[in-house]
This record gives sequence, structure tokens and C-alpha cells, in this order.
Amino acid sequence: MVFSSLLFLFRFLPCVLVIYFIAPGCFKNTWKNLVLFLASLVFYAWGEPVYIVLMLFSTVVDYINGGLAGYFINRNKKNAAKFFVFLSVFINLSLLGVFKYAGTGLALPIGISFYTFQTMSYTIDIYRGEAKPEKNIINFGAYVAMFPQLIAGPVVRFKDISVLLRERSTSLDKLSYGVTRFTTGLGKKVILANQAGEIFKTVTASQAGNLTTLSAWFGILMFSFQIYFDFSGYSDMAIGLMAIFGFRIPENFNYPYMSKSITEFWRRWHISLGTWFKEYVYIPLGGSRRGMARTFLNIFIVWFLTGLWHGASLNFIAWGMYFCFFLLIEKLGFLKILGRIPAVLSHIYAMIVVYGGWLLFAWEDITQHRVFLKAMAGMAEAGLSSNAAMYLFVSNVVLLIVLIIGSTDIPARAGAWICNKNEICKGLLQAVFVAVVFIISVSYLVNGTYNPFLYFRF
Amino acid sequence: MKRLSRVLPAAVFFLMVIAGMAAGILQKDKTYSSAENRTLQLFPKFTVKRVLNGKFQKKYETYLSDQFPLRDSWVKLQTATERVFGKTESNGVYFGKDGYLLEKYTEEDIDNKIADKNIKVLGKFVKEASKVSDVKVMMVPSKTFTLGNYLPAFAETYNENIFYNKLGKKLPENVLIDIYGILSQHADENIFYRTDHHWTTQGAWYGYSAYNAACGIDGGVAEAKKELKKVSDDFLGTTFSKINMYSQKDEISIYEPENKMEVVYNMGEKTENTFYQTKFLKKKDKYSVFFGGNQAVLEITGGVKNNKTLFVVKDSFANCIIPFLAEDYEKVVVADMRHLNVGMTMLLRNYKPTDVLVLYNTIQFMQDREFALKL
Repeated sequence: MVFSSLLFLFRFLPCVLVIYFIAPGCFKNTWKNLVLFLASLVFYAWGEPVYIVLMLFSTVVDYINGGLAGYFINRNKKNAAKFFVFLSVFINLSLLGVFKYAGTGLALPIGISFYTFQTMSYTIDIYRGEAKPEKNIINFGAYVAMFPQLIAGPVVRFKDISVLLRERSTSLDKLSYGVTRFTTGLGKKVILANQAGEIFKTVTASQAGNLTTLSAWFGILMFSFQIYFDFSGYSDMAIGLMAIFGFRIPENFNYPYMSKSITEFWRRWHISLGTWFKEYVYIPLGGSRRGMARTFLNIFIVWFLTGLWHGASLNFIAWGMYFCFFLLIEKLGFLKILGRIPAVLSHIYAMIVVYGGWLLFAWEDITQHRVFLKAMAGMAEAGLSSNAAMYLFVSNVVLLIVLIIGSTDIPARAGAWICNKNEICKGLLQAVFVAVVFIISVSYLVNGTYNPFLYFRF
Repeated sequence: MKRLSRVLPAAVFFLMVIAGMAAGILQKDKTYSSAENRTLQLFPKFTVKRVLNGKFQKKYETYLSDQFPLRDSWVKLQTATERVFGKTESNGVYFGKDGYLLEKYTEEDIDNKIADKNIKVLGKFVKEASKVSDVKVMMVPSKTFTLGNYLPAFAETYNENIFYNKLGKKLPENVLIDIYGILSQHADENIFYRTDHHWTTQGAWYGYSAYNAACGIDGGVAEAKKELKKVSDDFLGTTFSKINMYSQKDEISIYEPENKMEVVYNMGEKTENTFYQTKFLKKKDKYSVFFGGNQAVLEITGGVKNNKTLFVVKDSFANCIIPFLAEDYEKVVVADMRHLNVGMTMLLRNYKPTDVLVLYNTIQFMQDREFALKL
């Protein structure tokens, strides 16, 4: 199931909300967590009912591994604890390996890249003494399968929400914040990302002979916006839903397209995954404390894995290496130069590099890269521009402007500026925003069958 | 007041999702959508097996979308939003100048294999028919191609000259009538409906006059039939249905011949003495005012005594040109091969016409998967 569907908005969500708020909050929210756990299983099973077995398997195995790791840590038997951490990591990576990388032809279970990373963080945090094992399997199940973040993150570490699983409260402010955030994400996904994606699809689908320089540049630009609005919209929806249920989870995006360096870009893009790799790979490898050569190797390993995480195909690894290259250059001193030159120039540099990254990311098939690179370099078979390319561009200029402004913090700042003036005005404005964006999103959902989630494949 | 404003966003949201669900459950399911001209998904069959293999879930989502309360209004809202975004097309329809809704045809829409096969078969038929009759072929260009000047800036459509050139090579000289050349000269004279893909009776009159010219008939014959009678001014046709939002309505005009003729429908199914079935003017499908829509076979007699029989092989574009032609022949036989299970040459032998007219719309002809089977 996906959030941006009539099924979710008008069947699943209302039912879950009603049952969740009716469920008693006694026994440290166990009942409410049970509702969330069961709802998440339904959510998960909707598309691929068979994989519910996989989800339950993961839950039970990591519950046991975490519990035993905690048991031995308490008794100061570090090696025994370590064994169960390794077992957990091994099982999780094996699941990923079998379903994602082995090319067995099995359908990729949704969200597997996200929840395996979550459960690995659970046992590792217990081993490090940063989290206590969750004794109640219902609470743990709710954490693993939590439907708001199940499909596309953010990757929430257990220590981030372990307290909230037991003790959390709902307030009007949280509810209103949650629904506003959710609706923002819904609009970003359904109204903006899908439109941008359709343009990218049109450009890709046009036969190589019809591709012009203009349409190639415009197409990749639209892909850049599609992937941002798609993914950050999804994170907004996840954060909003979690807020409705009383959770606060870490942010995942912070206006990455405003970055002035690649270092900055990766502090603003898919933050939860970056944090995960930093905490569980980069720092354990020694981080930057073991000299220049070792630091560079560590960065290389992290970016190789980041690329690999996005898919088994070569282009994703190339994409990781590509960013690794720029990050290393920036670390070698280019970042200082970027700080001294006019902000506009460093911003342009960062966006060109990011843009190039999306070019790599867009297809698994190398022939597509070749065709597009050739076209972008001005050597398109169909020339620099054509009627079709101009038509595509002209009829989407308004969308382009909305996308550009929408990917900056201007809308949020404008909203805050108005809302800070008057509390009543804020509530009214949010309500109108929620109603309008929700209704328009629904109209797109009713009309369109074009509603794919990009981050499904990861 | 402050408290109220804090609860307002959440209240609005919860109200919308719960009301949406309640409305969906309470309303009665529809089996058919007239706006979309298709049957709608009903509640799918529920079995454990279908749930486990995911079939039930898939159908259920289609069901929700198909049966969504006020579905047509949502679609309209979406189209309107797209217009705000500056889109000049929606659902395969361009918003052309002067209220014209123009279907978008791309090269991908045309299956060249089918088109080439149809051209080949038509060539064979014309060769066969030419042995005994005077044969003409009129391929009416699509509205979009003819009214190219009405397209939004930079918008493109399939170049139908490719088809004309291919067809021209397969036909003897003086058979193919250059109707595109004539219609494009009169593009500003309401020769196509704004909201339907068909040509108007005015457009068909140009077709009739071109046919007469090709047959060497004096131009005065067509000139005398220029007077048309308006029968409807609130027609919203097939192109409108694709986008289903506010559009300028069309007028339908008809040509009424002076003398009454006899029309035999489908080999004697019924006989009438008019070409027009006015009851359709009160329905959505108003173009069916001409002969009640596409009929397999029409036999029209009583136009004139001249021993001439015209055999028309056609699609829906011919429906509004027939009234002009009927007066000029002792008998006109109109065959819609899409509704017949016999071959054209067989009908030819049966009716022994003095004249044959093949009249199709270019796009419909190129996409007709069955034409080649009906030689």
C-alpha cells in the first residue's frame, strides 16, 4: 500500500485513526502499539501477502537477537553479546542479499532496505549500551513494522523512539502539525513529483532520434525534481503520520537543493541514511581519527555502500563513487575555496554536480546514459531543439517555477512569517492549506493511474 | 477562539478522510459511466485465494477509484488544476484556439503495420471495383491535422500527408480526392465540431462538393444544397468526453432534401422516410441524429430516376454526407464494414453499383484492425 492512494486516504487511514484513538492508553501504550503493529502488517501485506511471513520472521529474529545481546551485555559477556550482534547483522544482510542483490527474480519486499537497517541499528545500539532491549514484542513489532516509515523511511534508530513507544501523548498541536505535514507531503508527491515524473517519462520514452539537447537537459532537470519531491514528500508524510500518533522522528531532508557544496548537500539529503552510515560504518571504521589515508578509505567504503544500498546495478555504485570523488576533493581544500567565492557560484557548482549525479542515477541501462550525454553535449540527432521539445518546455514553465520555489525554504519562511503574526490566523491558514492541497491531491489520485513511488525499488 | 484555531487543521483533515470513506460506503455502486463511456469496476469477488495472490487487492483499488463519490467532478477539478499549471493538453486532448478541442495523435498511436495492410487491401478493392464502377476514395483528415493553425504553440500532431502519399501510390489516378487540400482552405468555417472528432455538415458539404467535382458534375448541384437547418446548439461530443470540463457547445445542422426518400435499415430491419433520428438530439450522443448512428447497411431509394447506384463503404464520417449524395442517385447503398461479416467485393457483386465511394477518416482507417479482413 502507498500513502498516495485512495485506499490509504479513505479506507485504511480513517479506520486506523478511529481504532487507534479508541484503544486505551493503559499498560504503557501496549494496546495502541498493538493497533499500530497489526495495522502495519495489513499495510505491508496488502500488496504482497506472502511477505508478511518475512516481516514476522524479521521481527521475531531481531527481538531474540536483541534480547540475548542485551542479556549478555548485562552479564558483561561481551563476546557472547557480539555473537548475537553479528548474527543479527548477518541475517539482515542475508535477507537484503537474497531479495535485493541476488537477482533471484523474486519481487523485492517493500521497505526491506529500510527495516533491515532499522533492526540492525537496534542490536548494535544494545551492544553499545545506547539502548535497552525491548521486552514487549508488541512494542518491538510496532517499531519494526511501523507503517508510516516502513516503505521509504526515514530510517529511525531504535534509540530515537524507544522511550516514545511507552510514553507518549497526543495533543491538538501535534495533531494539527501532523496533518499539515502529512498533507504537505501528499501534495509534494501527488501534485508535483508525479507531474515532473511524467515529463521525465515523456522525454525518456521519446525515441533516440527525437531526443534534442533541450529535451535532454529539461528531462534530467525534471527527474531531479521528481526524485526530491517524491522522496521528501514521502518523508513529510511519514513524519506527519508519526506526529499524529504522538511520535517525533528525525528529519530526513533540509532543502538539499539550496546547498553550496556537495558536503552540505549530503548533510541535507536523506539525512537518516547518512546518519546511519556514519554511526554504524564510518565511525566504527575509525572515522577521521586514523590519519588521512585511512579517512579517505573510510569515506570510500561508506560511499561504495551508499551507492550499493540504492540498488544492485552498476550505475548506483558509480553514483556513490561519483559523490565520493567530490566529497574527497572538497575535503582536500576545495570546500575552503567554495566558502570564499560568491555564494551564487558555489551554489551553481553544487547543483551542477548534483544534476550530474541524477543523470547517473536515472537509468540502470548504460545505453540511456550514452544517448543522453550525447544529446546534452549538443550532439543530439534531432538537433538542439524541436517543436516537441519547445512544447514540452513551454507548457511546463509554470510547473518548473513552482518546483524551483518549492524546493527552497521560501514557502516555509513565508508561511512562518504569516503564522507568527497571529495564532488564530495560523490555525485558519493551516486548515485552508490542508483542505486545498488535500482536495487537489485527491483529484489527481482519482484521475490518474500514474502514481509510482520511486523509492519502492530500494 | 485560539483553541479552536489550533484544532481546526486536524478537524478539517479528519472530517475529509472520514466523510470520504462514509460517502464511498453509503453510496450505491454504479455499473456504467456515461462520461467515460465504459463499465465500472464493481466490488471484486472475495476469496482467500484471490487475497493471497493479490488479485482481490488490485481489483479493490480499481473499484475504489471507479466508484469514488462525485468521480466526474474530481476529474474536472484535476483538469482545471492542470490548466492553471499552464498545460495545454489533458488526457490526449489539446486545448486549441477558439474553443477547439483537438485530439492528439502521435506516431506511436499509429500502427504502421495495420495502416499499410489496410492501404494494400483498399488498393485491391479499388482495382476490383474499377472494372465495373466509377470509384472514388475520400479520406477525411483528422480535425487536429486540418486545423493545425488552431493548435497551441509548438504542439504537434501526426502528419497525415505520410498516409496520403502512401495511399496515393496504391490507387489509380483520379481516384483519391484531395479533401485535405480543400478542407484546410476552409479551416475557419466551422468544418469540424469543437467538441467532437467528426466533421460538421458544413465540412461534409465541402466533401460532397469535392466529390462532385471529381466526378465531373456541375458545381451548381452542390451550390443548390448549401442551405442547412440548425437542429441543436448544445452538442458536447467525444473530444469533450475525454476531458469532461467546461467547453464551448457545438451546433448541429442538417441538410434536408426536398423530396422524401425511403431508407431501409439493415436489410429490412426497419424502413423510414427520413435520414434523421431526432430523438438522439435529446441524448448525449447527438451525432447519432444521422441515421441513428452507424448502421451495417442502409439502402436509400427515391432520390432521382437515373439508373445510377452509389455504393458507399464508410465509417462514421460518412453519416452526415449521405443526405447530400442521396438525391443524386436512384439508389444509395451504405455499408459499414465494421458491422458486417461479408466482404466488400461480395457486396459489390450483389449491388452492381455504377459508382463507388470509399469514405473514411484517415486516423480511423489507419487504426481499423478488421478492414483487411473485409475485402
